[in-house]
Amino acid sequence: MKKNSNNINNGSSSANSNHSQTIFTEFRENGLKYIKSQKYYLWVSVFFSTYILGVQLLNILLNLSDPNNYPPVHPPPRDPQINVFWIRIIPFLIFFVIGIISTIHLIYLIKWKKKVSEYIEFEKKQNQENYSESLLPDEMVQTVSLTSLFYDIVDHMVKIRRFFVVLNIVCLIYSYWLIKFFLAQFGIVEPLARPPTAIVHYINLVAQISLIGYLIYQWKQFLHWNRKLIVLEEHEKFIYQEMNF
Amino acid sequence: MTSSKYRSSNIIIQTILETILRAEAKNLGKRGIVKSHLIRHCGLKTPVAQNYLDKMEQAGYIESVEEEWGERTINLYRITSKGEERHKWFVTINTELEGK
Repeated sequence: MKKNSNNINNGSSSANSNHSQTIFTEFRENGLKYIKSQKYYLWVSVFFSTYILGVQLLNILLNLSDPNNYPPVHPPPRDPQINVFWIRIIPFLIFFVIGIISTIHLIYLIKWKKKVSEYIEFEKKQNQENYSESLLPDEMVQTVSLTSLFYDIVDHMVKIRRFFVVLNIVCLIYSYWLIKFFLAQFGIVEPLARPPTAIVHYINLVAQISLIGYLIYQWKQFLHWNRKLIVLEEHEKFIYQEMNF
Repeated sequence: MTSSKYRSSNIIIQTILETILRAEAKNLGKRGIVKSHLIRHCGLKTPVAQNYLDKMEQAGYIESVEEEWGERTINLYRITSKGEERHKWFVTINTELEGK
């Protein structure tokens, strides 16, 4: 398998280097474009989730400060001791689950962003210095690669795929409140809760609309990631077999 | 075989290919990258790296070249067109499905 480099002429070597440069540049550009799109996705996820969670916290605080204004339940259940509690607590539990997912996104975003910064820093450092030989000092040794950044996202996709199933079940349960909320906007049903101020009402309205938008966005991302993971798994299997491990 | 086992191997394979491409593109090694540097850049232990390098060479993804360096002989690794193609697949999966 081994070849002797004396047999290789410098022309082909240079051409090979240029070819590698073209491939690597393409890889780098696409990789960075990919990173950008993932960053955008993560920010959107965090923003929407945090907003929704914030609104619920505001609702809880307002309700605590004015217990008489606590959301009335229509129609009154037959066994208020049990049902009222659950009917009141479920929306908060739902948003608690959404909050957990958003927190996972947030923690992941911070960690991943740090890695991306390390990678960009590494590239900058390497470009600034002019190395004429293949020896690199220890501090210049690559610690983050585009491959590792990509696979970090893949790991995250796998985790979020599982959470997404939970999120959808939870949101399906929540649709009872969501539908009632929107019907109340048109006066079809009596409002579940009367917010103390108009601004709180509008904040809640935006939160409910955001939730729908967030779910649609997550569904789109879920289908996209699912497709990507299937293709990636096929590719990985093929390479694994080709390697004859 | 679970996908995670395929994955762990593929992460190493793609990292090796990326490192060789990066080195060649930056002209750090016009005719490849020195084996010890490659291992260091990939952050692998030597026995693990050697196993992967051998397998990748057998599969035709990379090629090993001996070069005289003073009185010593050093091993250089270069990416082959097959290796480039496999890496391109990975890049395609990485980017093609974006925005669809």
